[in-house]
Amino acid sequence: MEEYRSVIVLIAVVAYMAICIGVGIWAMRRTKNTEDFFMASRQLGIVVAGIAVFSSTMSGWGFVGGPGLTYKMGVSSFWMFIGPFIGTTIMFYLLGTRIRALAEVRTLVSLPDAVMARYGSRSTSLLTALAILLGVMGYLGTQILAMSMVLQSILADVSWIGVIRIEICAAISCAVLVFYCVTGGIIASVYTDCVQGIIMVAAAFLIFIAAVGTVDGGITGMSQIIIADDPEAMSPWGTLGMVGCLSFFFVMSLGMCGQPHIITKLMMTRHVEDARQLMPISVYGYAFSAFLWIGIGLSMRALVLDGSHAELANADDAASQFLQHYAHPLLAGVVFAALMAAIMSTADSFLNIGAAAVVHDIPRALRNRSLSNELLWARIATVIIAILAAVFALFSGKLVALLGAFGWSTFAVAIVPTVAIGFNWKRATPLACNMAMIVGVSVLFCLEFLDIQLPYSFHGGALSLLIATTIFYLISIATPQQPIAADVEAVMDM
Amino acid sequence: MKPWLPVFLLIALWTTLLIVLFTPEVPDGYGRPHPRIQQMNQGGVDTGRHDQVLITGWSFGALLIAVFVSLIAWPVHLGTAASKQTQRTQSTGSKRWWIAYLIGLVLYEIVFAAVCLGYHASLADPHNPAFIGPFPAGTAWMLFGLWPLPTFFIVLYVIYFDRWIFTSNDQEQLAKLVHLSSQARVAVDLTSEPDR
Repeated sequence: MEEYRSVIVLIAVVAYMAICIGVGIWAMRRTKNTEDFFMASRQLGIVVAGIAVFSSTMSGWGFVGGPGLTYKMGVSSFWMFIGPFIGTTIMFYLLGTRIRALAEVRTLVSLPDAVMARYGSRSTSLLTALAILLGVMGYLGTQILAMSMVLQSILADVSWIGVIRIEICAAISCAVLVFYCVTGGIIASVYTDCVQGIIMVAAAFLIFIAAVGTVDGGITGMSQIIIADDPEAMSPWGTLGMVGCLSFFFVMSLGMCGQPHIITKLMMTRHVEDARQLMPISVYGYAFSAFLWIGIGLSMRALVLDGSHAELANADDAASQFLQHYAHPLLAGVVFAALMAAIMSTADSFLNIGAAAVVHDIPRALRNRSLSNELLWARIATVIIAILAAVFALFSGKLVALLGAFGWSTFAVAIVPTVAIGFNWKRATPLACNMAMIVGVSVLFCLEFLDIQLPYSFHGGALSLLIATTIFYLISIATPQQPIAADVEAVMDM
Repeated sequence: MKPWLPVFLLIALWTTLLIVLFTPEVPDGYGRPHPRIQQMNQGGVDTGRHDQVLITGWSFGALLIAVFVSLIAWPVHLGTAASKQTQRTQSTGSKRWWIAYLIGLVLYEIVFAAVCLGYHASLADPHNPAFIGPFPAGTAWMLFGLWPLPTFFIVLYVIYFDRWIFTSNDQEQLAKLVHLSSQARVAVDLTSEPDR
């Protein structure tokens, strides 16, 4: 079976993409208007929505970048999945019922719609939409690049295909992604997320079991090898140190409450009270899928340290090298499919909210009315955004890496104060939201583009989030409280 | 939420953060390249990299946890405010919700302290730390304690959802709002129809 490894992997990935296309066709028949396209008409079941929430959170970055970071910096990277556990919990407490109730009262189709309803401010809604678009382009660009690279490496291993240009791989993977997003909108996105989430959790467990067997003594053996080389790498703070790790903890926890592709899914369930069951599914699904991060990351660091595996040319090769050398071919096939699933489950969410920002939110903020034939424009915008993000990703590598790296932070800085806090606090004002977004995102961009390293490796996104939240609070209490629409205030009183 | 709480938390967070950021760093103490392996970093056990910041770092982490639990408890506080409860739903359980979240906060802080203390204890003999299961003690407390601890708050959410989060009163209120909203939309549609 070893000689057929590359073919098995290819078949698994092709089968997975065929499932996505099938779901897209099925969803197309159920998509009749923009409320279907952006909100699945608020008819998602608990299990589907719960799995979609965590699979949108765990992107290709988590499946490839996570093990790579563990290889590079040891246990420091674990704070990036520990954060979302408490972060998802906070998100449900702050927004789980409130935003779903508001979505029903005001028939909202996007997060900027919700912001408009809460604050009655077109400028706040516009800034939210622009921040979403900015974050989407960067984040989506890195997902497309990751998808293309994974597909290229899979095809290169197949002898009768060989190395194919990255641009062609980008075109193939984008074509599948765009097909089911254009045809089925969020319905296709969510149901493929459901398939993707199941594959991701199954793959994570199987890989963890495989990883434990790669080193004598299992996880204990890995720990001892890593400690022998550098005890700090296995300490709770890893190589990054305590302050850097706590900054990760902060931005990955609170930042969870600002991820628009996740919050919008809370608006799509059938009933407000579905949040009760949705929360544990979302939280534990993400937690289980993190087992791959732990297993591959620790095992590859240990294997390289004790000379059992050659040094990696690139830390991000940790996952693919593990799959190539230590996973059964069938398992490798499942995991590569899971990897594509992880990437696409996040990318499709971004495509959908990006399209909503372009055809729904920005026109409504600027012109106070939607475009006519919004569904058609949404489909066109989906294609254009995907193409732009792909072009951007392929020809502006460093810029995309930067934008992707702080995509999470961009959303956090813009949305946590305005939405997560502001939807619970009547004192929050539009001016406070606007200033928090402008200053927070500006600080973040300056830190990233000027390559300013904070002391103790403190994460720039964490500092920007703290600045944005402080500005939001101070301006809110310093300015007169704004009137809130009676129905919105009634929802906030629940 | 008490008005002083966010002010206190923000001031405390900024104070500890600024103390940390202005404390001189140890050279090469936060991820220096591995001497043999190019793409790998080391923390450097011999650098004393946390000597100056262990206490303030611990304070910062403890404050973060206090912020998180405050944000979790805040909507429960809003939802169980006495003025919104009918005579029937006011119960001992609703009055004592804050005890549960206080217990959760204390547990969270204890576990975080165990992470910090476990790490500190390992510094005495870093190449032979005490293990809990397959990990050194501090890391074990992090993975087996800190990571799953929010389960406590998840259990509270699930069990007390219809008493603290979204009550029957809230359901009735929402139904009324949705009804009024749909009536308003119908009225707008009718008035915007062209004259026949």
